[in-house]
Amino acid sequence: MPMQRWPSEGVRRIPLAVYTEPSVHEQELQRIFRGRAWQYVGLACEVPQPGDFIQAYVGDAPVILVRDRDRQLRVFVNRCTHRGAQVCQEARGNTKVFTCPYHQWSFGLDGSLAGIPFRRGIAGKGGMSACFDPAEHGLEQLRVAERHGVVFASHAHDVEPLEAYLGPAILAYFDRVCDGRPLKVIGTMQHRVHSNWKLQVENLKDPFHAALLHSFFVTFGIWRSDQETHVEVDPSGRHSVLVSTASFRRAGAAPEEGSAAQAAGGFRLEDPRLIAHEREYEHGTGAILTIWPNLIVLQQMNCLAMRHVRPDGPDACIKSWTFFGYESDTPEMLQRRLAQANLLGPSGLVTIDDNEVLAISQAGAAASPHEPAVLEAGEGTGSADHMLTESAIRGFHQHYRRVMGGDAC
Amino acid sequence: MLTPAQQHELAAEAELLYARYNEALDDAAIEQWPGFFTADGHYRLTTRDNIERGLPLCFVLCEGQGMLRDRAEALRSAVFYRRRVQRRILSGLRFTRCEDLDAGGAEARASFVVYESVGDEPSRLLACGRSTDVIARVDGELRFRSRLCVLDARVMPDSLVFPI
Repeated sequence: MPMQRWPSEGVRRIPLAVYTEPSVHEQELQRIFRGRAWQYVGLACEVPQPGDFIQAYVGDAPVILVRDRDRQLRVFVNRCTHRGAQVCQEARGNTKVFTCPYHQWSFGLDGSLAGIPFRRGIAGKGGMSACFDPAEHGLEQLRVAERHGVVFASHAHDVEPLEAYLGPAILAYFDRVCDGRPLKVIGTMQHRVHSNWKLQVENLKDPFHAALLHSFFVTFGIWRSDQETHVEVDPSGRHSVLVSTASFRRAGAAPEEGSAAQAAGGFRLEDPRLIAHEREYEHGTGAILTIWPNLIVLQQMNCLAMRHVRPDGPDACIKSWTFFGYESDTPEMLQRRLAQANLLGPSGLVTIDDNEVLAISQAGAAASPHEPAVLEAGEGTGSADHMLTESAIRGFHQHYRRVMGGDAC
Repeated sequence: MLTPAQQHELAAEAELLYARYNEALDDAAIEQWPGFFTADGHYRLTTRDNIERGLPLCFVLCEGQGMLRDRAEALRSAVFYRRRVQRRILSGLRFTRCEDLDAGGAEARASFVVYESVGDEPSRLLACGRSTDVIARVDGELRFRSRLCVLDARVMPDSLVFPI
């Protein structure tokens, strides 16, 4: 197990094998995704009425988020307790029961096994054995927490409360966008990224790359290294937020030395709608919050999105974006959110950069799993008031090693 | 109302528009892309899922030549991606409304598939779906007044770098 071969420099080095080894991936599914972590499953506004459900994922496992008859939110593993078939095949809908098509076992909205055909057999013959107790065969249920319309679930029934899990500093940034106003989904984007899920999450903890790789951001002064910045890392290292204040100054005669913006040269927008930002929040024009293990709460100008990173084997992940606004949005604000979404997702003028860089990072790691990644920008795993640090990535791996390695690290 | 002969002629002319459009994009001549649209031309790329749910979000939303040219120029100079070769295949082109070619525009539907090869990898299916377009005649040439590409799948296998 490569955990034991973590370089002596600690989290200033990351063994590339953690991104490529199938055995590490299996262990992550158990220890992280089935462990003591709150994982995003959806927005409460996606299931407003009793019986409303959506399919979601916890780790790589399909789950169902449903609002029961008492309006309580519940999350079940999408697996019949009989033979393991999925009891729900629709992406979303409204139902009174989940019935497995195979042998018609049916489950109530509280997960209880409500009906089994031929339980007593026919004419006294066959049926379920006397020792079969339906109460023992309800759907596997996860613990659920909701905050301001955002729903999380955990396999661990002893996980700390969500608010304590996030901690006061991260919670404040969460509440900055999800402040209790009713949320409204405006659309989704989903695409495969050809990298390990951790590389994708780390990408959002890496302020250094934004001003070098993303020439679109640099060219229009949306994310530049000289901007007012704050990197806040949770004391455990597991969550972090990158906050940036756009200057909207165009890259002048001297773009970042060596940056892609130099290549972009004289690019000027003909139509400003791609970046026509209307200030909605204090403290920054963009705040990118990463919540352990795999949720990114994105606020980039007027784009708001839950970006869920679903692991899909060691070499890939599925990035699932739920774009949202508020019920109270004006039509003009909705138009801003829609126009600026051109920068994000599978055709995003900024996201494409990341998707491509992550794919070549994975390819590089796969070819040299025994080499390390080097994280020497800045010191430690704490907060910083500048972009030229990799402290949030080190913090992530500090927590990762604690969860994964046990004594081995 | 167009006569059958006129309809036939229009269909042939539209085939040529799509052939030239697809060829330009397959050749990665992204700078030519806005020229296939009218001055007020719209382009939208989204999923069947978003359409069915009535959700307005698009992967790509360009309203007017300015936004079309901004995307083309960004893809030419401000976005990093590996060299890729794409192949667009169109099928089942038919007009669902063809009276207003010189006024509002005629509506055409078609199915599309796009294959892509990145680096040394073999070509694989990148996207498939249906387009619903409004085509108008401007200065004697057919152009898109609006083009809506709706992807069948919810999950894309990779980035969709170039427009469809």
